[in-house]
Amino acid sequence: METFILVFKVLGFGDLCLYPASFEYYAPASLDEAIDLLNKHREEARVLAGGHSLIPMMKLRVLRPAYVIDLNRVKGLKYIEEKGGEIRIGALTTYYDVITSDIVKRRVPILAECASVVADPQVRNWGTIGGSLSHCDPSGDMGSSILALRAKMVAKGSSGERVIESDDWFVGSFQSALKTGEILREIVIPTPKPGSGGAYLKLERKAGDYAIAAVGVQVTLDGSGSCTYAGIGLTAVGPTNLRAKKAEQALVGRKVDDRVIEEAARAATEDCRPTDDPLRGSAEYKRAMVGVLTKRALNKALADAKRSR
Amino acid sequence: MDMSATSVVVGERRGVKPKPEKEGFVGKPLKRVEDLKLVRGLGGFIGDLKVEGMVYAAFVRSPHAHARIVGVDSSDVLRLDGVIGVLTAKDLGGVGNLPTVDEDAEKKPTPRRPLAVDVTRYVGEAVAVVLAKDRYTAEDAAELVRVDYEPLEAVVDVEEALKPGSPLVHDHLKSNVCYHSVNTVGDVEDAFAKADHVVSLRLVNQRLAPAPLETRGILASYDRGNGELKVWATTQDPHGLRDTLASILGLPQSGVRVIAPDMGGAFGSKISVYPEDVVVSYAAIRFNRPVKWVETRRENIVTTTHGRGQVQYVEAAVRADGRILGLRVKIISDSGAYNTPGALDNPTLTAQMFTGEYDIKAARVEVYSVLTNKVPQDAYRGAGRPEAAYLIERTMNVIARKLGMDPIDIRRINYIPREAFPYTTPGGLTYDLADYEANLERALEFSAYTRLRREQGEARRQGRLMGIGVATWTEICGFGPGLPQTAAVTVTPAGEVMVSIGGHPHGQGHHTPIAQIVADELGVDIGRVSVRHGDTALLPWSSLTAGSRSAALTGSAALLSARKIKRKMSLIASKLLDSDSSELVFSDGFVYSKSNPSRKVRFEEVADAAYKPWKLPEGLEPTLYEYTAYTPPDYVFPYGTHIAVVEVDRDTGEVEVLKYFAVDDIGRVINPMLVEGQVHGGIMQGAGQALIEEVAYDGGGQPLTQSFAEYLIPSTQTLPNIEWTRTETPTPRNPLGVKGVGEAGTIAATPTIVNAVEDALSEYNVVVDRMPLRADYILSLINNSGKRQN
Amino acid sequence: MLVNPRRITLRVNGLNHMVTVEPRESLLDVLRKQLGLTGAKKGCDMGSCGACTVMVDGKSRLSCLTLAVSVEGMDIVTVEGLSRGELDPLQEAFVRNDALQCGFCTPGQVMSAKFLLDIIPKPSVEEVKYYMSGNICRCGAYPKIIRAVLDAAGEVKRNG
Repeated sequence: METFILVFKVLGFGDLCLYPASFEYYAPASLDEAIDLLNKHREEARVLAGGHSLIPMMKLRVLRPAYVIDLNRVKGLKYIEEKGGEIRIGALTTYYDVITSDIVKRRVPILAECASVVADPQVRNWGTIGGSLSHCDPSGDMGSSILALRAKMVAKGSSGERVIESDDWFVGSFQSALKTGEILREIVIPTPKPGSGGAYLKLERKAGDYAIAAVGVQVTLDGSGSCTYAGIGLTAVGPTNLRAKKAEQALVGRKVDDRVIEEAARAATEDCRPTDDPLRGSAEYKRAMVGVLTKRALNKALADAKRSR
Repeated sequence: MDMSATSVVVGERRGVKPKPEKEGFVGKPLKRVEDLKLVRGLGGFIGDLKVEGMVYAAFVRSPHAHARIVGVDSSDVLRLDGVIGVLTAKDLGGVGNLPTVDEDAEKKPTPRRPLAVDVTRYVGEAVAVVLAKDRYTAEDAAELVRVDYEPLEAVVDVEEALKPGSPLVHDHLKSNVCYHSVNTVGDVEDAFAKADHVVSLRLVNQRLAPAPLETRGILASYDRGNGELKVWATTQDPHGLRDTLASILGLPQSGVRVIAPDMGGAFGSKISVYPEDVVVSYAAIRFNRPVKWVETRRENIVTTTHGRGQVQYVEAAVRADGRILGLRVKIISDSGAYNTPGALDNPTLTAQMFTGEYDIKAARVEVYSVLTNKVPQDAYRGAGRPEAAYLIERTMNVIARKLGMDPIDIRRINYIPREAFPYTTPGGLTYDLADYEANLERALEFSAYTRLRREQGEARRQGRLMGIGVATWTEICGFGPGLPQTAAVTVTPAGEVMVSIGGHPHGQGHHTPIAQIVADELGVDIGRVSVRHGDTALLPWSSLTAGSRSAALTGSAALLSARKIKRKMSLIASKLLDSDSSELVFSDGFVYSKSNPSRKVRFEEVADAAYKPWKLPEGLEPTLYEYTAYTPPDYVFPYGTHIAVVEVDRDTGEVEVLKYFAVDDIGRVINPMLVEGQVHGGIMQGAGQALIEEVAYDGGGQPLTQSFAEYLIPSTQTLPNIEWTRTETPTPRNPLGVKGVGEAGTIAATPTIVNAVEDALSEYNVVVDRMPLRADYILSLINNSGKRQN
Repeated sequence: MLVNPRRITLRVNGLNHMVTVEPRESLLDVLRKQLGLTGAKKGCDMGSCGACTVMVDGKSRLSCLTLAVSVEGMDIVTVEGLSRGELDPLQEAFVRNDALQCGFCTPGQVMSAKFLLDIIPKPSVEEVKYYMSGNICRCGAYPKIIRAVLDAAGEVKRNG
């Protein structure tokens, strides 16, 4: 179910305000300073990146932080680089940066495809990857691509950094693995091997809407056409972005033909945990769509994989 | 995209002086004069206006669909820095009720206070208002008003509300039915007895949010010295708001001035007077400071009136050849929490227009308006006519499919023939003039219908679900014989022509076509004509801008006023030229003698003379000012044919509109460029209803659509390019021969697209009975058809 | 009266403006209320309609979801900054093509189109539709908005 409806359910419906409660504002110049502030104010503080998720929640007054810590003055969190078999993306990198990055286009086109269907151009210009992942909206698009790529999140806190596997990142709806006082600094993606392909397909009521369901698929084929890697992430069909493990297992180690694709698509429908949504369709419908999208995304990703060998 | 039809711009904005062509400005695609300001962001919309000392209001609203108010405690509010004051229902003692219907055998009024007193009847109903130095503080303060509610059982579904034993929205009524009527024409029983087929249908027009991009707003200021309440408001009816506010607040009508500034769309949602209009105006008087309130988008979607909201049961008695012998129709209208005049207009208009373009001799139509715990229903672009067109055009489609006929043929068999006009319908209306066949023929040619069908055959052979939908629509507009519209024309001593009009734009662009009409009549350059509107101080009276009536009424009133000016200027010029006034011609900025064109005088010289009594013919009153309250003899009925091509994704249920053609007959056209824009916008909104728009509530009456993230509005990607052309059958019912175009596209597009989708699904033999055509719904139709092939 | 007020400098349309704001105030509210720049409009206040679009450091941005305090020192351009006397060619194209009706969404449409033509000077119809999809026009002037953007790009004939 989509963010705001969840919010209204929690909040009640009568207050139709769209003005945030007051707060104190900090714009630290370094990540360490931001972390200090976060440790000082703990649960009373919220971190601001692009603001496209946080500000609406504050306008609805469902979030009323006493302190907002704006990361936008922190230098050095906006980059996409490839080194030592890894692609590293700074947390303040925007969707726009991802879409226009040569590294992304060449190595992980699934990310560009995914970023290009998030909301609308204005949001993509300023919305950040780190902000989106930290927000952990189960309808967030980036999370599924991150799961499909088995990326790692580098979190920084007062006692240093720790690396969190994408499998462990999505703790619950609007709940990431970040502990109080930690900030997501970087996303690390293992560079896919030659013979890889990816696709992100989103079914939506209208372009730019939250997904009814979406599927991110990343595959690698070896010289013989066998699948050596499969990552599948699912959007809006569970309490968090989900990894479709059964579907992945249906692919890995096998020569992927139509029958295998059907099998994987069917498995993905078992991997998802959708709920009824009054505006986007029943759980049953979304489950069926996970199957359709998985099949279509696999066909697309596999075609890319074959081409890139 | 076809760019060949790009309009030729012959006019220029004011100041630049193109030569009027011989045939004049009317009919030319002149650019709009107001665009220069709007495109630079220099419009003056309600949110842009400021008055010295202005404070801001925020409303405390009911979180319950139905609840008893046990207590309201606002004692904490005034402790907040920056708060000016707070008003609750008990502070509004001398203030009257909002408008409801007058009681008669069919109608039941429902009293409504500006702030809810004992019971709240929909989520968002206003309970209190807080004033503060700025809106942020006002919202902080609103949170501090504590209202104790005792929740009551709510009724949300309109058919549930009809059942005995349903919770009552208003206890004083014995049921939730607030209007009931039956109209029978012809021998309906006989028609059904003779029928070869009876086709039965249940159709639903879902509730829609008009959602103009500018929300509602009001800025009220009270001049205690002069005793004048001055109100800037987003209203489609300034004089109506003036009179209603005066009545509710106990002020003289002369003591209220209403100004409608630039408006960012309205679509019917800014006609009626709202609780906030009354409360903000009252607060301005009570606290003796200007008070401003602009709706948030959440308030707009939840508390501004919704459109549509009708369940329709249709039975058609049909002969084997497709001729419709009779109709039985039951309309159940979801009024919402109060029986407002606007809520009642929609179903009653549907009950007048439900036979569309067809010659149906026997019909019975029954209307129920039913109260529910939702915001009241009111006009939304088309107001009752889209529902009527949907009813009959969907019915035609279903009949055609049942009989295996082409949707074109079923219509041809049933059209009111050209020679039958003026034609009186079962709904009691007399249509002016139409040639439905000719319009249909033009549409078939324009869309290359035969080729489209061939392409469809090819697509089907490839396994694609391609569909072609047709709707041939008509509507009632040009309201009406009981509702005059006004305009005044004055010519200044310098020869500038100033037009004041009763109708005013919220996007329609009245300035330019009105100037075109007046410039042609007076034979002057259009740059000399300026148009004013939207202020009760401009004209003695005016009526609302709605129902596609401005060209027919405002246009005619301006034309007739210009004619009066011309008559008077002829008399003046005749003295100046020493010739007979009856043989004078106004052209190119001169007044000529027809018999001797060398005898001529500049338009502005005549104007100047008008202000100099010694230059006037004896007995002629000085100055040039003429006013007309134009009342048409009857309504006008534009019509047209729309054709859509769609494709349905068999696996996901997604619908894509591939092509859209429209051929409308809206009579004579003053400015084809503006008309085309109206057609585009109308089709876009009609497509919105068919494809994506729906107001949703949960079972307890909580609104699930509160922002544009839930309530979807069409975007650039919703439709393909719209191909449009027209036929022209001028109406005899106004001096311009114009009909009306504002709502045409909205009325036509919804059934056109739904018919197309039903056609695309023809292999599954399903009836599309719900909107919007969400992917999950379409897939469920396919899956439940029993014909799903894998 | 102001809660946690801050004195900041906003650089708007090439001019520095000193303003005192609360941190919670949106850039949109500050532009409209304090700087008198009412071109950017409040259509939804939740980032879904695009009427509030302005350029910040060369990229289109939703000013309703932007805290004024967070863009201090950045280069902000509003629709008022596009034309100094003369209309911007984009604005001219909007007028020429009748691409506006009520005009409420128009400043946002123009700014989104500006961004599009900055990054793709000769867009296709599909690109125009995609890049303009974040700007709602409830009047439904989209066919003419699309035409205006193509016209401004000198693309009307090519795409015709």
